[in-house]
Amino acid sequence: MNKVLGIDISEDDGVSLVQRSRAGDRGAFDSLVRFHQVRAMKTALRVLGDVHEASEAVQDGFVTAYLKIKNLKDPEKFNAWLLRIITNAAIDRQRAVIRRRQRFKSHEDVAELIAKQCDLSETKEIQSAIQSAMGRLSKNQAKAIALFGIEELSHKEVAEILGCSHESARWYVHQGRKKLKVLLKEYLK
Amino acid sequence: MNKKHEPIDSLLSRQADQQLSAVDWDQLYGRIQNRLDQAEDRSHIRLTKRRWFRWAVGLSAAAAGFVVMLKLNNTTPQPIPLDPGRCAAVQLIEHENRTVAKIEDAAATQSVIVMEPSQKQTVVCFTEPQRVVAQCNVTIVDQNGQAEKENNPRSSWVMMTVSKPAPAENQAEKDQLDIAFSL
Repeated sequence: MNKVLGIDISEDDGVSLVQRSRAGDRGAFDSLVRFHQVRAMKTALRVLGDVHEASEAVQDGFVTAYLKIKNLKDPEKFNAWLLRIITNAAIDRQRAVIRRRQRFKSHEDVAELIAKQCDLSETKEIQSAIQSAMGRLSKNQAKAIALFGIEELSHKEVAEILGCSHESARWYVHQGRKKLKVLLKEYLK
Repeated sequence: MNKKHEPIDSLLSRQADQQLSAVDWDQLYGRIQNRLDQAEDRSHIRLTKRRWFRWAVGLSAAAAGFVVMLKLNNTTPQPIPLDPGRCAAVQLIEHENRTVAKIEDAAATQSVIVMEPSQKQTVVCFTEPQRVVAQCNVTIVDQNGQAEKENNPRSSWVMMTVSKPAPAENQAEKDQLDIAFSL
């Protein structure tokens, strides 16, 4: 049994909820949201490094999932299917954030803006650095790094969500880690 | 196989967990519900518009089809040029025989057909009503080419139809032509 936020869902219940959602049962989909929103938020947060942006990505992702659930042929694959949608939504948000930041003429403008907008504590500084570093990975590297960090997902599931082979998924993780080690070396000491 | 975690993974996890602890899950759930409601409303509007559009297209297609049908029904067959000497098959209703009618004169809406005097009876060409496309005058002539007098005014007409030519047995019959006249 899985228990999240007061919702008890067995695997069979999960499949049944997906089937009912496909048939147009909005209540069933709401239960799926309750059950999956934590993992969705974790995934989006690992890509984006920012709670607000991750929240927006999760909302985007669930709306997309609701509108496209009839395309899901195998209800048992709902978890992987949903996380694929969430990571794609998170990547789209990440690209939008990068574009917004690129509108500023200089790096100093960005730093000044961030300092004005928030109390730049050490935690926030690390968060900002992670956000920036994740934005410099390729889409697949960023997705792989984010999904790899979700404890409940196996290597096989990560590869499935990414839509690639096991070896490719491991390669993306390896390359992503390599880049992040350089970009965040200051915070790894 | 257990996933191997490196220090970078721990850094990312720590930061993520720290941020997650501050998330108001009920608020997030509420926001997701609002977005889903908006998506449903947009979907209903799109569906309604699509239904009305299909109705309009269907109705237009039906109206167009109706107009085309009316046009086709009203279309009169083009007259086939009728040269003097050409023959047409005529069915004699009274004797249920077929004979050869020779066209003496041809005009756009009227032809004079001379029937060989194989029968001295009134010539009437009977066909299925829906296949009748024309009416023409018939003059029955005798062996000398003299017109026979018609006592029965009703016998002075014949209905010609478009039909398959009878199998040709001689040259005259091979000249038979399916004829359609304009009304």
